[in-house]
Amino acid sequence: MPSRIVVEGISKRYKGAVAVDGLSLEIARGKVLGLLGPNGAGKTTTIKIILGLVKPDKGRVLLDDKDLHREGVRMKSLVGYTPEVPEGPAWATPCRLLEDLAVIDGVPRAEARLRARQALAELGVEDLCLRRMGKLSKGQKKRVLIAQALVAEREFMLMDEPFTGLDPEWVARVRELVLDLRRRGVGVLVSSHILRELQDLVDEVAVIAKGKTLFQGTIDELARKVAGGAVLLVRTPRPAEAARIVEEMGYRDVQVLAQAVRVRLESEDEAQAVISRLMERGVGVRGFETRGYDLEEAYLRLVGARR
Amino acid sequence: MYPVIAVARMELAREVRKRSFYFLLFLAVLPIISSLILRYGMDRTVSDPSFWAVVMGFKTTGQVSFQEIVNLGTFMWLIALLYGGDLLASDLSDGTARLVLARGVRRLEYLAAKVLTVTLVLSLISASTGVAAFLSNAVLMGSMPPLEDLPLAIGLGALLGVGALPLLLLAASIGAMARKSLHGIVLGFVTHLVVSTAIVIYVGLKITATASPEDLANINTLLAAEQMKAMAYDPYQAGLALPSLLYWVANGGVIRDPLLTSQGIMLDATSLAGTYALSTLIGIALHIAFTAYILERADL
Repeated sequence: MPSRIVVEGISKRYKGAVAVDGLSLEIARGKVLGLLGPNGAGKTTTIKIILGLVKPDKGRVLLDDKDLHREGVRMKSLVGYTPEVPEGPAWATPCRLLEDLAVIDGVPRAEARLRARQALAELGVEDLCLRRMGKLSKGQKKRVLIAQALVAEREFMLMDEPFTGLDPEWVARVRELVLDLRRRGVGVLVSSHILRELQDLVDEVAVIAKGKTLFQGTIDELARKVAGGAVLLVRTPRPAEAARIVEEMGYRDVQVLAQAVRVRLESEDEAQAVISRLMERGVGVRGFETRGYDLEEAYLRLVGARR
Repeated sequence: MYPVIAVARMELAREVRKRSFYFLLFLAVLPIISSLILRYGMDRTVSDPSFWAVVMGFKTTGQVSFQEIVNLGTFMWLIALLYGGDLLASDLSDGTARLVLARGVRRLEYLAAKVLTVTLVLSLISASTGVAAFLSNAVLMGSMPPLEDLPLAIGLGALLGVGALPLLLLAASIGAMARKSLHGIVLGFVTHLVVSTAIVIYVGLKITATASPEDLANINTLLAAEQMKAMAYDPYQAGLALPSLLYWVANGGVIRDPLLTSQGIMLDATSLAGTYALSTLIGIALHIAFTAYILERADL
């Protein structure tokens, strides 16, 4: 059985615009990899390239040491896929669709019928079995499309924004499903543009922006890399002058707010020195507070969504 | 089960759920309806033993009758466009193709499964229409056609489904590019119209350049004869007209079109059928290659 999917330096341009630019990552069996990035970062394109739905201009996708795109149905059906957009043939019923897809996966017809019902039950949509896809709500369709990936045995699962469009109950249950897949030894890739969705779910996270990998490692490593230190918020009637003084002290990450200045410190211990200097220079310090650096904020800074 | 068969089965389920399928079914029972209309309503005197061939559009009577206008051959181009326009477009736009192809089914296999299925559906229905026409000829019209016409009704009926393929694949490739069925249907029709018009213009220019004053006295007949020859260059029309030619081949090899025979013009149906068959096959091959190219390049 293959143990990992390796994506090596894939690139894709659409009419001159870069969608993915030399991106590399690795999905290991029994692990959950979060693919994190803002909208338009290249997450969906990356997943589609792995699946062979989009042809890369450069790079390759390996299943262990074999080119995944040259493999037939037997190997490729080891990789399950749940699409981001809740779509599907309006004419088909969920039972019929899942049964046919299971047969394409190589499951015998009689067993496929059973698997289709089981998968729909797992996602709580078994009562919609005979209703046409065109009549389902977005959330229901989304659950059906997650269920379709469960109709055959998978070694890997690529889930494109699986939580989008689900209510909080089903977000929690799909998270459970991901963890259950992980327990069964399946390598799962979950894409999201929200870090909080992936915290406590993933073993590793790959942060991408503008088609490039900015970081791959654990959430803790991400926190250490981009979210280390602390934030000092100093309330003052002259924030611009205070910011200039702080910058003279060598701090680069300084933000001028309406009646305050915010400074990123290496550690909370540095706060005292900054406050003392501001008081010495008479900028009118009216109060201050320090706190740990927000990981979500750090991630947004990393991907360039916030300056 | 091979994935291709599974895709074909999925396609079959899709085809029979389409509105155009019911239109096709209606055409299949049309011979019975029209026989009843003719027998009990419009014309009580019809008792032609090859009336079934008129119903299928393989033979003309030279009269503008109800059956001359309403026959399967007349509607086949519309059915080809309706089925073709939607063949790939809706799968590409509603994500079905993504779900199937993500499972490792090759794009060419996927196209082959869909084309074979739609050909099978069209051929089966039009062959059934042939049988229905034959039976209604015997039972409702009260004139028994020669029994050797039955395999002809089935075989040529089925061939009508195959002959529709160039036009169907044209609509399919346009629909796939635009990812909209309507674009495939409308632009497919426009292309069909442009090619047909080009043929008419070509015939007109040819006659103007080469015809003698005596020929011009029989201009309608001359136009009809030249038009039939020139249609070999138009795979969309050649494919749809091929079963008619083969019907004529089976009935003596001479085209028995009242318009032509009344003017003493004989066309060799066998050699014409050969060129039509070649044109249809080339048309099918080129359109399959083009559609496969479109699908192969499509990002899903």
